[in-house]
Amino acid sequence: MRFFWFFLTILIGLLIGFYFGWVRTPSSIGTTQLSNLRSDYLADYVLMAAESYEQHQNLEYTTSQLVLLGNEHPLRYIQKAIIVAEKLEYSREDLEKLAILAQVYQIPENTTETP
Amino acid sequence: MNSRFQEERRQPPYYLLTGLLLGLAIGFVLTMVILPVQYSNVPPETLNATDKDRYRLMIAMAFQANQDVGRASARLGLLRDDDIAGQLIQQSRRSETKSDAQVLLNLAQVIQNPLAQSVVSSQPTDEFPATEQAEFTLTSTPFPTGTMTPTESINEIPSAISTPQPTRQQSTTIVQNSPTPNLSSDLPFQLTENEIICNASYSESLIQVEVFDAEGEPIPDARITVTWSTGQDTFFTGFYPEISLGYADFTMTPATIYSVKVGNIGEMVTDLTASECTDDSENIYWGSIYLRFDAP
Repeated sequence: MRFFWFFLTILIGLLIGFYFGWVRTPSSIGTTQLSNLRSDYLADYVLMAAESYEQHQNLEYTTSQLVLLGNEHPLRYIQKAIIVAEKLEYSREDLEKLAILAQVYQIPENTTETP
Repeated sequence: MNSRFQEERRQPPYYLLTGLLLGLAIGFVLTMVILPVQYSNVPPETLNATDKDRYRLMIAMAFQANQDVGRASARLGLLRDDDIAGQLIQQSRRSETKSDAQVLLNLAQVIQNPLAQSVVSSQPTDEFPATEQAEFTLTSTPFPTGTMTPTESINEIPSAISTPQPTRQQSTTIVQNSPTPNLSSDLPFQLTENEIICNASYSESLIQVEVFDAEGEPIPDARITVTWSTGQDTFFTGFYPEISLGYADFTMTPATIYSVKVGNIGEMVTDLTASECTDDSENIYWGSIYLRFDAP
């Protein structure tokens, strides 16, 4: 009988811990990262990268900005951004900027495939 | 026997307290350390301070490219900063590179004064440290091209690199002809000190400028214009608060003659050029120039 009550109190302690840890006082929402941004904000971030790339033409710098979005290849984020941008009816100019940046990432891959 | 039995019955149920504390400890470790709450689909205002800085810098760089103040303001609004321009200026002061600081400061000035006319300028002196080693050169095109030396982080994406070159070119914008004049812009700054600095520890030959107000306090964000026979550069004090809020410097090219002016109507100091200095081992190196400007 003692074991029953012992494990029951552990369970109660766990539930209280879960409540305070996940519901009542979770980690502050002010500590999120760029990778946690909503898809439309992510698309805008990628668009900003495309806009600045248009000026400086520095692919390495642009890559360093896009890798902050997660572990995927930057091209993947640009492709996702294009999909979101089309859904949200971004202007033609903005879509072109995204497309140009996507192309830049695709060109070296194609050239390496072709002997 | 009877008394022993009564003693056992009187013991409080510590095992219940132990179980509760154990459960609480496991619960907190699980929820705080092992499986903390993961947020997703969040707006930019919830970003941590570092990523907010990155987001802000990205906005400034995009603004530098498209010169769209409305779009930049809308994007900055997503960060819900109380003082947008102030945040940009603060970030410019803690920026790792001068170029970042300049880009942020440019945007801050346009945000403060949206009617300001922006023009493209070049910055031969701005450098990217470490992974962003870059050299700015004078150019008249608004969107120059260039590449940079690849770094380790980029090597993870080999397809992204084609023909790397050691330097890149980049232009930045500055704000001029502001309808609401900067406090320090219209002061007739006068040269009060002009000194040749022979310091072998300097890796470059610099024009070091310090700007002070009438009370002798250093002035940040004072515009300094350096001109030479083939170009001009404009930059601002305040990027080196660890030296002085009124300090700025410019890298000279030996044998080039420069003129320096602070603000719009400050005294123009001409015929500045790098002097030869000699160290203890009789090695010759290029010296620097220190200029102090004071407001009357």
